[in-house]
Amino acid sequence: MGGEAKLSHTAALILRAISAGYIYGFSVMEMTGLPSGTVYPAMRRLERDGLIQSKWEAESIATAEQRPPRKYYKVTRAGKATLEASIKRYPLLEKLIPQTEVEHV
Amino acid sequence: MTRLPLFVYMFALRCASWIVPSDERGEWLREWRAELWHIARLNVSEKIPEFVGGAFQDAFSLRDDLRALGSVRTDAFRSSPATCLIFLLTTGLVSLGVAFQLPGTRAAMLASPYRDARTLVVVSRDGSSQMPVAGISLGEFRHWQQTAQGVFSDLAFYQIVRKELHTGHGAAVELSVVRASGNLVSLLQSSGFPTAAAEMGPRLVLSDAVWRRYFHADPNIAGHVVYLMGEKAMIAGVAKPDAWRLPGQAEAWLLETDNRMDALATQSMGFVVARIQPLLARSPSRDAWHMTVPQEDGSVAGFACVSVEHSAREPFVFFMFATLMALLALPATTSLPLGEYPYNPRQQSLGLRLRRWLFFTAKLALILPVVCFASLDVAQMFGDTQSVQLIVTFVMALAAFRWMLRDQRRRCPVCLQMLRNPVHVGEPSRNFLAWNGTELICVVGHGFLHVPEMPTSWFSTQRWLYLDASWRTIFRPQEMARIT
Repeated sequence: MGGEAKLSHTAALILRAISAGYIYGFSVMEMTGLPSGTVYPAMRRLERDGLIQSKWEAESIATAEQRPPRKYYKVTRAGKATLEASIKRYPLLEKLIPQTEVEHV
Repeated sequence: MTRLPLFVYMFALRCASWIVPSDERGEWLREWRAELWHIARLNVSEKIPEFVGGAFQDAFSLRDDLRALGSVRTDAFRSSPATCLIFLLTTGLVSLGVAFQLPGTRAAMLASPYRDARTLVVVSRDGSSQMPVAGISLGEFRHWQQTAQGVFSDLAFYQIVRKELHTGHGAAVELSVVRASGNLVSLLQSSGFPTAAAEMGPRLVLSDAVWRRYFHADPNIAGHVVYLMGEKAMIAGVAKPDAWRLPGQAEAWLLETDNRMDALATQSMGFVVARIQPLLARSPSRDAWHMTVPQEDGSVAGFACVSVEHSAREPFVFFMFATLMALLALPATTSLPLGEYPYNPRQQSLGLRLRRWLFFTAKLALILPVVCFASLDVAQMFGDTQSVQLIVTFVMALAAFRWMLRDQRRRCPVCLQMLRNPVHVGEPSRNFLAWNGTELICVVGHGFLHVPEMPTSWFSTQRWLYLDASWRTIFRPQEMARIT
């Protein structure tokens, strides 16, 4: 019996977007085309299930740039394993969101 | 579409935040506000209303998720063995607290204030020893004073009377007064009563409650003269709380002089309290004696001399008797076996089995005081406390033992959590071909419990089925992993 949770296509898409470097809620929305009312609840559940984790950026950076600090997300080790299983299940994921190393705002 | 100012959207986010439970509200609002600020900066104004609308969806979603998690936590809290024990302990402490507030119950639980309480006896006519009543005439008391010196070293007579006490400045209160022979206090040998030298007139001892209520706890009250039904009495002092353990309610004690006692009618009925001769009280296990007295008409009257110590123990003797009766009646209300738990070296180690039995023993140890104190509390509300205590103890003990067994049977033998999700399996009409009953699950995934609907020779009691670790991913989702 596999240990990875089986994700819906939407959840897998969001996980893939975060993995690809779209680390803020709005950038995930922009990349996936999903509305905020779908993206944020999904990200919260992914975080609850330990597939992603969130962190507030340092206050000093935000203050220096005269903007409010943002909460960013990154994929955990369990999330990576789940994403790999999801990519096998949904092969188009990789084509929809290619892997990049750049953080997208 | 005209672009609205940013503060309008910020206000909308603030409104949405009120949907979110307060613990999460601050962080939730902070994230949405930060994102909104960045969107506004990107000049994609047409996307802002939709983005803010999504905030409401997210707020409702978060609230629902937290509620679902809360209900799982509540269920886990309710079914936890610790919660069960805490509940029993709290109930026990509450019933003990109530018992200490009720004078009759408190007296049963505190040590006797009388020195050598075993030799101090209350004499009652045969057949009335369970509910002491004023059944001895003053004439009989006088007769015993002269003839029963071989049985009693000292005797005192008292009656409970309602008397009006004038507390001064025209104020008067009606009290339940123990009108007693002058030797009552010295006979009791109690530190709870003031020692007063013999006076010419009657002496009055006030109870602590009366002294505080009607005499404002005056520390110099001793020596004051008050009027009791128009007759003068000198206050000898104040008795300590719980000093009176003999039959009858007492708010004050009027210790009469011999002359005044002699003036009372021979037919006056009251109680007799006596010190039994040390020779008769040599056997330490004996605390009740029977006395026969020849009457003038040639007949013989029987009297029971029951020690005060025996009377103090009586509620607990009744409790034990009624509890024993409840234990005997228990098999008629529920089956006694706790079920079959096949040996499993990993999930049923000695430590786990010990823990299971310790939990069962702890429940029993906590239930008994709860039943004892609660039955004493209830019995105090009725006149015939002994009969009521017997009935209430029996009913409560029976219900408590039954619950204890049923609760133990419905718990997982590994984690002791209550089993959940009962499912009926099989058909009663096929009882002899396949099993028919209820199946319950341990939510953590330790196993299943099969409870037969009809006990048969091949399935007489409930059986536990252990599950191995490969099942855990089904039974232990993330929520359960957090609470276990």
